[in-house]
Amino acid sequence: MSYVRLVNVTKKFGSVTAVDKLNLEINKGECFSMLGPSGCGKTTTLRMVAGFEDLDDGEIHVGERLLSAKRRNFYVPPEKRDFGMVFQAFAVWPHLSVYENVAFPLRLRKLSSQEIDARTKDALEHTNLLHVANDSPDSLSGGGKQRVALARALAINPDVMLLDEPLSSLDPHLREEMRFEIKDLQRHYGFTIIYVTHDQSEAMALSDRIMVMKNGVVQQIDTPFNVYTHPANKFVFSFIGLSNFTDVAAEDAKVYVKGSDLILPYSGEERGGLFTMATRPSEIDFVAEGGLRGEVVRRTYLGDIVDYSIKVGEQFLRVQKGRNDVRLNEGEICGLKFKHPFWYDAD
Amino acid sequence: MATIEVKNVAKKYGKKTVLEKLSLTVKDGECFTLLGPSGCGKTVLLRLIAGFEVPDEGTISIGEDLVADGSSRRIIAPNERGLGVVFQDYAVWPHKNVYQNIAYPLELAKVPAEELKKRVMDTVHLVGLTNLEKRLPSELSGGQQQRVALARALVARPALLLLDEPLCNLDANLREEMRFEIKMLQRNLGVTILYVTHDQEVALAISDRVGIMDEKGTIRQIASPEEIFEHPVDEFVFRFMGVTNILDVRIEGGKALLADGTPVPWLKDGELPAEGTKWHVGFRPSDVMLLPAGEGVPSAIRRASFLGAMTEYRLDLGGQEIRTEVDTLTMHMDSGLFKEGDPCGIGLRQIHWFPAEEKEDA
Amino acid sequence: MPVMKRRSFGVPEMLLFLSVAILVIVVAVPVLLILYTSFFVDGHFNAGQVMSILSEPDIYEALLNSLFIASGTCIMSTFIGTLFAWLVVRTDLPYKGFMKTLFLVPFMLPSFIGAIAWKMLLSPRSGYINILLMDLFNLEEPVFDIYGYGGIMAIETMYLFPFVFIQVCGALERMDPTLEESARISGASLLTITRKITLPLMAPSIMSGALLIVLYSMAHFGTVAVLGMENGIFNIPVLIYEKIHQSAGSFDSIRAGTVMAAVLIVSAAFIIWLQNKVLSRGRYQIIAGKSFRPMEVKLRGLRIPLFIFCLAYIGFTIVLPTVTIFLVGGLSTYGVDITWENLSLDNYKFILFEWDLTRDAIWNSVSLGLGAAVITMFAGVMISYVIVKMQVRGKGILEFLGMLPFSVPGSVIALGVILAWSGKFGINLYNTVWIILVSYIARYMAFSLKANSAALEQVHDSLVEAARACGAGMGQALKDIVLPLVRPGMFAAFFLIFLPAMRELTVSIMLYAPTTRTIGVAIYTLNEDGETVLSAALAGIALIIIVTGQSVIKYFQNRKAG
Repeated sequence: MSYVRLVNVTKKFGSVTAVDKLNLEINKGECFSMLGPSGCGKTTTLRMVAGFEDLDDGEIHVGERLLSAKRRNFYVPPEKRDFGMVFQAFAVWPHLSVYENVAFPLRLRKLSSQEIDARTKDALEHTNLLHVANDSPDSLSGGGKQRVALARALAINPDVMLLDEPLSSLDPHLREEMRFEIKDLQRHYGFTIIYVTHDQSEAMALSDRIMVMKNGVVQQIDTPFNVYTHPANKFVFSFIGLSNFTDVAAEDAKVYVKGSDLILPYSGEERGGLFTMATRPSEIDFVAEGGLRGEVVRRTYLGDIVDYSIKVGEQFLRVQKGRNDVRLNEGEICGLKFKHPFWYDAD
Repeated sequence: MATIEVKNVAKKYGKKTVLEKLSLTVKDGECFTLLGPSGCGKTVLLRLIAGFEVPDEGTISIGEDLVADGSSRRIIAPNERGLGVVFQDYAVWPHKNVYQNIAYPLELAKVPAEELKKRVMDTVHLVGLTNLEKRLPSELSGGQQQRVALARALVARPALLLLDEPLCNLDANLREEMRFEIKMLQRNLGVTILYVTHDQEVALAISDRVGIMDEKGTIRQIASPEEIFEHPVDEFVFRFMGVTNILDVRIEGGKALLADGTPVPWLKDGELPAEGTKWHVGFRPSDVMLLPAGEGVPSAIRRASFLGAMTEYRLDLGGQEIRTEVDTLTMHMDSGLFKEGDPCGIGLRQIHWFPAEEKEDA
Repeated sequence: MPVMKRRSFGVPEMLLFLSVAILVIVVAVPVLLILYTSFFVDGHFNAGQVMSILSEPDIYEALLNSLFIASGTCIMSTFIGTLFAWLVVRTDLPYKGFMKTLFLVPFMLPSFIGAIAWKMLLSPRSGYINILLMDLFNLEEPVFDIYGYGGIMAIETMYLFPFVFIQVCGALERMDPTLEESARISGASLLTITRKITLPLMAPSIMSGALLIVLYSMAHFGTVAVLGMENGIFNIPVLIYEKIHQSAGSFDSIRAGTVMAAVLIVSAAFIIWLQNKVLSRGRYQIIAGKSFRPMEVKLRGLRIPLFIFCLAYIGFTIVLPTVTIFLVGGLSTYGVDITWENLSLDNYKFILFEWDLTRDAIWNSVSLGLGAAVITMFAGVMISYVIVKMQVRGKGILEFLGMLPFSVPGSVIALGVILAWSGKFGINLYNTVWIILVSYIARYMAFSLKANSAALEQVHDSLVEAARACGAGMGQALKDIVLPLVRPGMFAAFFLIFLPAMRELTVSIMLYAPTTRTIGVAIYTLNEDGETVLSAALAGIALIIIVTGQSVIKYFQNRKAG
C-alpha cells in the first residue's frame, strides 16, 4: 500500500530544474533510499517532503493527508507535518541537555509532564542514551550526537522519518554500527524511512528499495539486488559500484575489443558499429586457457584484495580478486572470463 | 645513494617521550612506508629526517652524510639536505602560481634560465598539470594542489622524497589515482621514498617495505606488505592492517574451545599452543568459509548486508560475533544468499594465535 | 658536504628580547607606574589613601556616572545591534547587503564629532530641530534636551552598537541552518524557534559584544565631554582630564588621576576576562558543513515599515549629523539661518590655508598618524611573529604583555605616558609631539598585533618548511614566503592605526601643548571656545580624510578578493 505519494513533483532553482516531474510511491513501513551524485535532486526532494522547499509543480501526499499542492496553492508548514528528521551535521542544540533536546518536540505538543518524561526516556533508552541524559550533547562523540538527533526525531513517534545523509559525518566503522541501529529502531517503531545518501553501499545495505537519480530525473527504482544485477542504464551501472567500460566494435557478426583483433563472447541482441561493454572488476575471472587475452601491467596488493590492471588491445581493464584466488605477476599474459557483462550504446 | 640510517634516535617534547631508541634503515631506491595510528610519532621521525626537528639522542645519516647528531645537538639545516618533502596540507604557496611554485627550488639553486624553464615544464607535464602553469593555487582542486606540491618536491631531482600523509585530504577516488601515480613516478625516477601514513591501504598498495609503529613510537614489524598482512608478528599489527575477527579461546584436552565449549572451526591440524592459557584467535573476514548448515561448525546469520559486489554477514559463533564477506554473484549462483536468522556452518582457512593479555596494550 | 651547525644561534632570543622590551617600555611601564603611584605613598603601600580618594564626592560621582552611562549605552546598543543584525541576516528585508554595509558606517565616524553635530541639532536653546519644532507647533519649551544622561547614552549608542551588530551578524551567518530546521520539523513555530533556539545560541556573541561596549563606554571621553559639561555630568576619563589640566601637574591631582585610572584598568581587565570566559564557555560548535540557505523569516506586512524604519535610523544617525557638520562649517557665524546666501567655503579655505592653528593640527595629526602607523606596524609584525611562530623559552611573558594593549583604555595610557616620560627616567617629552607619538604607539599596538597575528596564523608552518626543504635558508624563506603573505595584514594594520589616529581625542587632549594640537584636539577646543563654525569646518575636513581612507582600504580589499 503506498503511503507517501509524490505526484509530478517539480522544483526549479532559477533556470536549473532540480527535480523534474517526479512520481514516487513509498509503502508504509518501507525503508526507501534516494541515491545519486551531489546535485542530483535527492536532497531537494527530501526537503520538499519535509516542507522546507516549495514545489513548482505537483503534489505530495502522506497517507490521507495532502501536504503540498502547487496548483491549489496548498502547503502545510514543516512544523505541522509531524515527521521525524535527522540531518547530516547532527543539529543537536548545544544549549540544551540531551534529555531536553529529546523532550523538545514533546513539550511543543502540550503533553502531560508524565507522558513527556515517559516518551523521552523511551526514546533515550532505545538509542542507548539514558546514562548521558543530563549531559550536554557537546560532550558526546559524533555517533553520540547523531543518536541524540535520532532520539529527538523518534520522540513524537512519527509515521515518517526523513534521514538526510545521517551517517556521512561519522567515521566508517561507526557508520556500519549506526546503520544496524537505525534498522533496529525501524523494526521496533515501524516508521517509514526516506533516506538520502550518496553512498551506494550504505543505501543498498539499509533499504528495501532504492531510487537512483541524476540531474533531477529518476534513473531506476527497484530493490537493491535488482538495481545491482539489472541496472537500467550505463549511469546506474557506473554509480552502483566499481566499473570498467570497454569500447567494442561489431563486425561480421563478431564483437571485437575496439582497435584490436580480440574477439569477445557476445550473446546479446544483434548490434552493429561501436558500443560499450560494462563489467565489474570483481566479476572477471582469470582463466588459464582461452578467454580474452590480456597482459598484467600493474598489480596492487591491498591485503584482502589484489587489484590488477590488465591491458587488452589498447584499453585497460581493472580486475579485483580475493587474496585466496590465483595470483598473477606483472608482465604475465592471462585469459579473462566475464561473468556478467552488460552492453550499452557508445556515448 | 639515498639511504636513510636512523640510529637510536630519541625525541621528547617537554616530559612526553615521543620516540625512544628508534633505529631504522631505508634502502636506496625503495619505497618505505611508516604506518601507525595518529600521534604515534611517525611524523616526528619524518620531521627529524627532514631537519625540522633536532633529535635529543642518536644520529641520522642520509647517504654518506651524518645530518643530525643528538649528542652534540648539531644538525645540517633542512635546506642543505637536498630532499623533496610533500606535506599533508599541500603547503603550496598561495601567492605564487603553479609555475612559480615549481620553479622556486631551481631558482634557489641558481639554475640557468633556459634549463630552469625546461625542467619546470618537464615536471609540469610529468605530474599532469599541463596548461595549468599560470593558475594560482586557489584556482586548483585539492588533487591538483597536491600535484603541484609533488612537482615542487621532484623538480630539483632529489634522491630522497619524504611524504607526510600526502593523500589524506583527498577524496577516495583521487586518493586511489594519486597512489598509482606516486608509485609510477618512483619507478620511473628511481627516487627513494619515505612515506608516512595511518592509512593501511595506501601503505599496502605503494610500499616495497612497511614499518608498523604503535602508539608508543615502537616499531613492531618491518616487512613487505604481503608478509605484514599474512604473517603479522603480533595482535597490534594484525588489528591495524584491516577488519579483523578476534575470538577468546582456551585450550582444553588438545582442543581449542570458545567460552561456551564451541570448538574453533579450524580445519587443519595445526599445532595448538600451550594448554591452560588464554589465547586470542585472529582471522580476517576473508578467512571465513561460509558453509551450508550441517557442514563445519554450526553457526547462524545475525545480520546480512547486501553491499553490491559483496554481501557482508555477521555470524554468531558460540555467542561471539564474527564477520565475513562473500562475493554476491558467486554465492547467488552457487548456493543462494543467506538471510538473517538462517542457520549455516563455518570453516576457517587461516588463523593466527595471539597471547590474550596482549589485547590490553594493543 | 655542508657544515653541521648548532641550531640555536640566538636570533630567536634576540627577537624575543626586543619584543618584550618594546611592550614593556611602551605599555607595561606606564601601567605599572599608574598602579604604583596610586597604591604607594612615599614608597609605602597605602590602601587607605586610595579609599579616601575614591570617596571624594566628585570622584565617587564620576565612578557612578561612568557605570550608569556604560550600562545604559550597553543595553540600548545590545538591543539595537541584535535587532538590526537579525533583520539583515535572517529576514526578507529589502536590500539586505547594502543595509548591512550602512549599519557599519558608524564604526568609522568619530563619536565626538557626532556629539558636536547633535549638540547643534538638539541643544535646548539653539538646536535646529528644537527650533524647528517650536516654530512648527508654537511651543514655549524645547522638545529635546541633549545635555543629559539620555542624550549621552543615545549618542554613544549610535556609534557603539556596531560592536554588537557585527558579532551577532557573524554568528548568525555561521550558524548551521539545520539547528533551526530540526526545531521546525519538531513542531516549533518561527517565533518559538527564535526564542528557544536562535537567541540562546546567539547569547555568547551578544554578551561578548555587549561587554565590549561597556569597556569602550566606560573609557570614553569625547561624547561626555562635549555633552555633559552643560549640566555638570562627567565620567572618569573626563574627570581625569580636568584634574590633570586644571591643576597643572600638582601631585595631588595626579594621584587622584592615577587612582581613577587604576579603577579603569581593573574594570577593563575584569571585562576582558569575563568576555573570554563567556566566549569559551559558550563557544558552541554550531558551525557546520553542508550549507543550505538559512531559514528566512517572512516579514510580510512588516517588511516595508521595518525597511523604512531602518532607512530612517540610518538617515537620522548618519546622514543628518554629517550634513549638519558640513552645513554649519559653511556658515559665517553660528546661529544664522542655513540658507544659500549664508553658506560659503570661506571657513574651509581659512582653516586649510590661512590659520596656523588648524594647519598645524592637520599637519600634526597626519605626521603623528603616519609615524605611529609605520612604527606600530613593524613592531607589531615582529611581536606577532614571535608570539605566533617561534618556539622560544620565555614566550609566555610576551603573550601576557601582548594581551595588555587590548585592555588599557586611552586616558590610562595618556596618564601613564605622562608619568613615564616627564623626566622620571631622564627623558622629558612632556609638551612635545613625541609624547603623543609614544602614546599613540601604545594605544594602537593592539590593532597591529591583532591584524598581524591573524595574517601570520594563516601562514602555516608547512609553507615555510616547504621552502626550507626546497633549499631556502631561514632568511630567504622569510623574505620569499612569509613577508609576501603577511603584507595584507601589515597593510590592514597600517590603516587600522592611521585612520583612528587622524581623529584621536582621548589621548591627545591630555597631552597637547599649544603647538602640538591634533585635529581632534583642535575640533574639541574650538568647539569649547565657541568657535562653532570653524570647529564644524575642521570636523568636515576630518570626515573627508577618514572616508577617503576607508574607501581606499575597501578598494584594495575588494581588488584582492576579486
